Amino acid sequence: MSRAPRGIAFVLRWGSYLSAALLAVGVAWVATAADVPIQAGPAMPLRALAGQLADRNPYALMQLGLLVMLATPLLRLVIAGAAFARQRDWRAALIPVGVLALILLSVFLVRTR
Amino acid sequence: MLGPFLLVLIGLGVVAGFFGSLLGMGGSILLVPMLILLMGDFLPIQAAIATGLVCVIASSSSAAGVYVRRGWVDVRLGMLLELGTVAGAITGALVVTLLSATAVEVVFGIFLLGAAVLMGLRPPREAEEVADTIPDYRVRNYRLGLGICTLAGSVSGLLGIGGGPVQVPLMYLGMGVPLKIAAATSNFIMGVTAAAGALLYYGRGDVVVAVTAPLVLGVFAGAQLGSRLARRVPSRVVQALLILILLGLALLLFAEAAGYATPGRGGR
Repeated sequence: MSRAPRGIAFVLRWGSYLSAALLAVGVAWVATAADVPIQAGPAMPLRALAGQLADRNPYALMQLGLLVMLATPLLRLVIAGAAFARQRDWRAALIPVGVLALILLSVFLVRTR
Repeated sequence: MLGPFLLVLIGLGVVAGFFGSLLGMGGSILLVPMLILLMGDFLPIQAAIATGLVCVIASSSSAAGVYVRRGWVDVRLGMLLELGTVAGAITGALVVTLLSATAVEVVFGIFLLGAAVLMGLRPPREAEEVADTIPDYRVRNYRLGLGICTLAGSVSGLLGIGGGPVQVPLMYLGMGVPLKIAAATSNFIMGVTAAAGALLYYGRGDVVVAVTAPLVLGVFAGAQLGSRLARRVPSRVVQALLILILLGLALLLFAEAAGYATPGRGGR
């Protein structure tokens, strides 16, 4: 197996395991704690996440798990692009870069609207 | 204590993940309509769609990791088609903000009817290609592939489901890709496609962490269970059951859109 698929497989596998573990701990924490109220609103802002994790907010842990899950496919685009670039296969390397650019541009446009 | 509430959500996710995995369609095609029908009174339709997309990523990533390691994914083809699916997913996730909940319910109902018809026409699993060796192949019709994948991506971004029902037949029948490679590559593509849509929903504040997290866990567990039992359960039985479920959900969505009360909602 070439380097690109091996790196991609590693990122996808461990990214999904890590996010599932974070989600499981967060859900179990909320389910068993007597004093955690339901937080039915939207996800907390990213800048507040670190502080909420430090404050031992289980919803922050769940949100971190969801963010890891969202980031996993994006990270595999980076890994694929880097691996193809190392093989000097510039055409193949440009495709994941283009996909990633499209995603980041759309997120940027939605957030600044 | 929120234990019972979370258990219900996990259970819903397990059911959707289990049946989705048995049929190879992903759990979101069942989960999103179930959320709309059962929790529509307090969960906005866009939050249900966002949850569906996160569940697609969950079921795609873990399986795609295994398929890539086994050499079943055509990585280059997958990434090329992602240009189309991602552009489509972004379009779908933007278009949904222009549609009313009723319009999304009707579109979803039509999609479920179509999926039920396709499922009825599809040969049972035993008759499909299950060879361990992968024949040599030459990919053709790239333009057709990119075009249809853009359409599949927009359906994904609009309805919160994976694009498998469109992408697998396209690659297999239209692009000359062996079935096993087509199915694994479609699964590989779905993760990035769903992430593109889900990030837009997340950016708009449509992801409700308390609901999405237990559902994703349930889908994850249900999909693992379904993939283990897939060979033991007669595929004709599962196929017939899923057709009934898809038709039932479609009818309930049409009833909901028409203003009749459904199990979790008071109607409009």
